[in-house]
Amino acid sequence: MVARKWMATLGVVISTPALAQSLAAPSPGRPVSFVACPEFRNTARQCWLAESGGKTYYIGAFRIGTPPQLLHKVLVEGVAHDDQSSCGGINIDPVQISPLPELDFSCDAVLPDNGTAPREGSLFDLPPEVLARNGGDVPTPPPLTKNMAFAVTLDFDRTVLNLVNQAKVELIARTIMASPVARVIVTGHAGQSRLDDGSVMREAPEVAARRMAVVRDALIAIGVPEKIVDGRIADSLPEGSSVLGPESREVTIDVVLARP
Amino acid sequence: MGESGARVMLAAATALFVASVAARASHRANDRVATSAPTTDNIIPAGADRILSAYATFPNPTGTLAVFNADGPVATRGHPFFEPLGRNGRACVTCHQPADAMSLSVRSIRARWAAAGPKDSLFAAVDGANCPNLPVGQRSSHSLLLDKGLFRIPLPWPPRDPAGRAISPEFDITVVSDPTGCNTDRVYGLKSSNPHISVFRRPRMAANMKYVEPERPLSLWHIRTGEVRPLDPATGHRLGGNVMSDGRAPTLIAQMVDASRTHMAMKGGLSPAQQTQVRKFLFQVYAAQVTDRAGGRLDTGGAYLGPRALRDGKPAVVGAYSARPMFPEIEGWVTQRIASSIKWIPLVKLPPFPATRAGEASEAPAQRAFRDSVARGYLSFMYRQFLIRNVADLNAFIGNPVKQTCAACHNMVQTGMDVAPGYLDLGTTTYPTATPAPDLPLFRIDCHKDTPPHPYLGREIYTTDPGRALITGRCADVGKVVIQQMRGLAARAPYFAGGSAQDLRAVVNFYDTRFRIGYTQDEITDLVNFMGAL
Repeated sequence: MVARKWMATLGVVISTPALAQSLAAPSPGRPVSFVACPEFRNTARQCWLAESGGKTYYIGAFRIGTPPQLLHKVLVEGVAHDDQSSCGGINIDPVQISPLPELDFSCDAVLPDNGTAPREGSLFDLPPEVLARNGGDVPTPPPLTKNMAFAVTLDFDRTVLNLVNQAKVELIARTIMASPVARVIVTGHAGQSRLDDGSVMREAPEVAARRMAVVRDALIAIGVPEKIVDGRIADSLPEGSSVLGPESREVTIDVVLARP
Repeated sequence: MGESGARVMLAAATALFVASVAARASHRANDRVATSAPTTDNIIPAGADRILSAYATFPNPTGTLAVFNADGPVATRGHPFFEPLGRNGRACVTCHQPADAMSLSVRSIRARWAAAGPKDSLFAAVDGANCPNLPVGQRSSHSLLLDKGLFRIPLPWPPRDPAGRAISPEFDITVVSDPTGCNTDRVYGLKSSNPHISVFRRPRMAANMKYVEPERPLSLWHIRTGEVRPLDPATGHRLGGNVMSDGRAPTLIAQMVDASRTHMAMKGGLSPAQQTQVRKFLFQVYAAQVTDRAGGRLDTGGAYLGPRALRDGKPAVVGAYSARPMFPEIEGWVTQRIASSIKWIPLVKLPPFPATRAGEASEAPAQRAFRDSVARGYLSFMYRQFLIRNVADLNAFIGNPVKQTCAACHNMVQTGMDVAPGYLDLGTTTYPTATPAPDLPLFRIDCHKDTPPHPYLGREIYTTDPGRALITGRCADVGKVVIQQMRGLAARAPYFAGGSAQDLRAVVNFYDTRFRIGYTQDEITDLVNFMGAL
């Protein structure tokens, strides 16, 4: 239990549904899920907006990880708070952005600064922990005392591990390396997302294999012995499946201890 | 003609117009550099018996470059970096000349051609000619080397993984135009029995290597691609990934073995003992500009530019604006008067600077003007904001567009390399942003439907050099190259991996056009002076 709490603090998603539910804080607002062209407002804080259903949403400022991309539509998933706004748009918080892979030249809106965003400061700088580390080692996590399941959630139709997921995978790898592990089962999933208009977007099936390979290769490259890692591809979700949203596009990592 | 083809043609016409305007505008900067005729006086031939002193200086068009051997003088006789060890008479030094900042300038290439013609092993047919099958001795056979400083790099197609196994590429490649004839040649071309693609690239600077191959890079990850950096089997360290433009040789040792086998035609390549000796030499040699013809010494008046500061610096440190200046050696020249004079919007609030710099009152007018200009150029490099767009993989990582500065990509303190490391498609070889190059081959890339496309160029791409994609076989890697260091620039024109910028003004003009920055001519001159002082 100590290990679980410690990892949850560092942002590792634990895929036991009951535990995940117990860790989630209640959040007001309404869920939203839509695909739109992102719009870049050229303010000091570099606002990103998107329109859906006649409303303008604020989907974030400058960020490292998976930011919106002009020339690409984005899938926006999150919780909208109609009573809060930033940069002229309704806040979505938390928000998950998935730039869609194919080019769309209609998504090319750069809006001028209209005074709706704070003018002070710039958000660019590497996170303090990255600057402070600057090549240093990550502390060794405590060993697992029982079998554990981890999950890494990826962007829609994408296989790249963003900065947040890099930290997760690194922590998972170091946890495995610190533990008496017999087997690690890495399973890639291709998921789907239900949009606000009722339609369902399904990921390309081949994404599951690529995701599995990306995470498996990363674990091995960090130092998990290749001989204990087993890669698997999950069956495609059936039509009408109730598994929707970011949690449907995971890579799960099941860790089996040698001495449970 | 498809939509992409039309875009390429329109962009090419636009770029030709821009280039002609830029050529006229560049006269101001070139006034300062068109002086002494190139000679071979400072060229060290392969097999020479010389002593490279601990601190050697070499003139170049704007001043003087210093090469600093931190371990003391180096005897070239018998040293594997300087001895011709292969079958074509070349040594490492043939293409990595101390006078050219351990790279090679077109200026000295032309001087060597004028002095010895094809008898100089630099022009060996294997890669010093546009194609090995061209007539020996004719200037036209070596035009890419003589005009742009480009060597032929033949790469196998399909690509090979480190174990030599063929990779199944994510795209098809077609030769659209082949002015050298090499890519369509029966022996050397894409459809030969041993298929290769010939691209043409500049040699990189072989000095300041502790920054190029740092023992401890910033992070475990290639943070933009989400891949774990591989381990160097020899040292156990994570690799920085900045050694070669396309990353095909992950370590300096691998690079020198590959180079000795290919460029030097050395059967078996350098021995382990020779590898160790060359590596030891390269990790103690530093090169940087030390004087400017107008501005005098670059290590006075509060600045401390030059190779000794590189010896003393810490590698793989990422710059963070005022908290961690990118080129601390220049900071001493920046005063509050200069900082107050800027007319552009800084990305972050400028820090306070002193009212005057050391010895400012006694500076001659030309020296004062030069130092002010370098300081303004440095501030512009560090702080002038503009929208960076459509650069794979930078923008996928921090947003497209992103309001940033030059230092977003050139972020390693003291060298301007990319700590990340920098597989980036800045558009120097991919259309529509590349400068038109009718003397280079033009390839069309058709990415397969079931693979991720290039994030900003899609699935049909025109390029003179697919860059990293020729190593990985990935569509998304088309055009990507690793950012090189910014030191010793005055000694080693032309610039960019494909030699597309003849001088530093052309470098700035490229970015000005690429990102619609809107530099004034004075700002461009400041940036040129800043880069030339490095």
